[in-house]
Amino acid sequence: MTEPALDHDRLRQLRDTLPPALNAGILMGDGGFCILGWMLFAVGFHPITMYGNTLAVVEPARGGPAIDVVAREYRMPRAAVVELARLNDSTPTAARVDAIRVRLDELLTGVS
Amino acid sequence: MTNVDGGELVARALAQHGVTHLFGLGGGHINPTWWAAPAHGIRIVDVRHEAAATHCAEGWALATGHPGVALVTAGPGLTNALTGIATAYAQRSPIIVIAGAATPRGPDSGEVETLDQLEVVRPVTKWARRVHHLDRIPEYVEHAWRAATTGTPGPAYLEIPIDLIHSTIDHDTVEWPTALTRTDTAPAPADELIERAAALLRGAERPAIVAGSGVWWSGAANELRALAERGIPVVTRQAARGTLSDDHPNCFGRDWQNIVFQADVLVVVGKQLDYFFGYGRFPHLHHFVQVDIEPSEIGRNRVPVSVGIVADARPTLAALAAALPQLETAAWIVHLRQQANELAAAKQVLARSDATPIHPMRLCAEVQSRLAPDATVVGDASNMLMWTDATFRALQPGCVPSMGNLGTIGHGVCYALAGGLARPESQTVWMVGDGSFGFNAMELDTAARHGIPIVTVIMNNCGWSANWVPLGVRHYERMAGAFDGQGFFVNQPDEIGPALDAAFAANTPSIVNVMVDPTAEYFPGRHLT
Repeated sequence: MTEPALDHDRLRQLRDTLPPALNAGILMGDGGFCILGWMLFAVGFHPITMYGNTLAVVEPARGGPAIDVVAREYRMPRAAVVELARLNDSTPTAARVDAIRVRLDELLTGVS
Repeated sequence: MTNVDGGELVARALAQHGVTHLFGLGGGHINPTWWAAPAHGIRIVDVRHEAAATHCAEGWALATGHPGVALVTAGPGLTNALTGIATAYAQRSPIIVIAGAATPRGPDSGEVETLDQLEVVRPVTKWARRVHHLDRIPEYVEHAWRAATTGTPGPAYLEIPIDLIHSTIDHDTVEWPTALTRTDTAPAPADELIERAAALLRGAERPAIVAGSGVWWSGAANELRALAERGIPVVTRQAARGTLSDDHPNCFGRDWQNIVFQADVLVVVGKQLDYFFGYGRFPHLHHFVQVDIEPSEIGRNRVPVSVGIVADARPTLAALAAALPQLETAAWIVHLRQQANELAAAKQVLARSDATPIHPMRLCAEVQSRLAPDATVVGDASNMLMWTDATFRALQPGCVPSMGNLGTIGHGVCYALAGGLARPESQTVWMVGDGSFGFNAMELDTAARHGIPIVTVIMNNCGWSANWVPLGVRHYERMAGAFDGQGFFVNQPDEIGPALDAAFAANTPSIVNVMVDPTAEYFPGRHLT
């Protein structure tokens, strides 16, 4: 089965509008958003659908495990979403946004 | 012939149901009940705001499993009480609210405290009535009790006009409900449905149970344990926290997401399919078995349910355990335990943080390390719950109350107060953010007057986290002096322990005001694949 074509427009817009800081490990809560939470927020999910959660988006129509929802919304391979989340969580706070931006650049230019 | 007033009838009726505590705030419309209650062995817990009366009533129910009773006066007394009623309604907790009311001549006349109270409370109660005849007070108290406790629990509301409650009647003419007029049976599940559910569990590779408040209200802790010990991992939520101890090898605390998203057959018992549970929409599941005493809860939010059992949790769990052999799920449980251990290790890193400002997880870990298994520990609400929920362990039922799904904040002191009254020899802790602290902090005075030495721990990040509105550094610990309590200001990690030790040693309410890091990050413990 072929992977879905990446939604370049959404990913590019995401890369260009990253917030000044990202938290580690929680979609939305103290410390703002992690990258998955921000990705969901950027495509229209209300913060309350992610509030306090690490794994899931609680929205009846489009919700579910955050990895799967992000993969669907950005037409990303699931593994790439997992890798992005792990990069988010394992990168020190001060370097996190830059690291995510670099990885998004790589995704957009086809670097695996 | 013995003449009694309406308050005497209310108090006697409540005493017949074993009520020992009445949470309220006085007023002319309810004085007869207030005056009569102590003679019937009912302790009046006089709070400082009617919202606290209804929050305390719910806290009593969460701590004991029995309905809590609130007594509030008419008009603003009732409107003040509304948030507590609505919170209990959203969380399906059994409380009974008895309110004063204006006379029947009140409407459109300008009579003081006149309000169409029934219309106000109907959207947030299971049952709401006004008593029109004095001799029917015991009958209506019985109805209120039944409404609050049978089927899906919830608030029942009864109002008695001021002219009626102050009038008298020959006691011998009052017809009292007897045991024969009560319903004590719990709906049992159909055998066929139990067999279908058991067949799904027998065929499951990764079964799981999510136990909700219905397990607590049903008194089904033993039955839940028996089913878990067939080889099924359990998550406890809301009022069910502690019905299976977090120490049990098959219990995985309250973190439902990791287990639910890996399970293939899920049994959800007495748990609303609400926001805090992903609305129950888990399309990856092979089968979803739902048990609830309320038919309309089955398949809420268009969740496809393989087997829906409308029955009480206790007989249902017992029947399921009896229908199952020991399941071969050891590898599944080992896998989950390994993940839980990884998560615990990640938390420990934060719990040992020596950073300044103080990491919230360090503070929570310091509190947890000082708690006995029967301590009442209340994590109040909003963002700070991410730290308390990740830390506090429920080792016994009724000790770690759920804050409900209405989104109420600041009411944790009332749950702590009720827990302290239910278990006066045990520790009582209220963990609260500096924003929420402002809502009901005056109830620390209630705690002081009633001898409940609540340890209040303020997780102070100097602002409202929801929108980052600053509140500044405030020395809330100084308020303890007003209640003859002790206050501690903490802004270094090594000050936490001594302050907590002194607070727990004090025999009065104390406030430990801890400056925490507003930018603290969560633990990197999510399982992504």
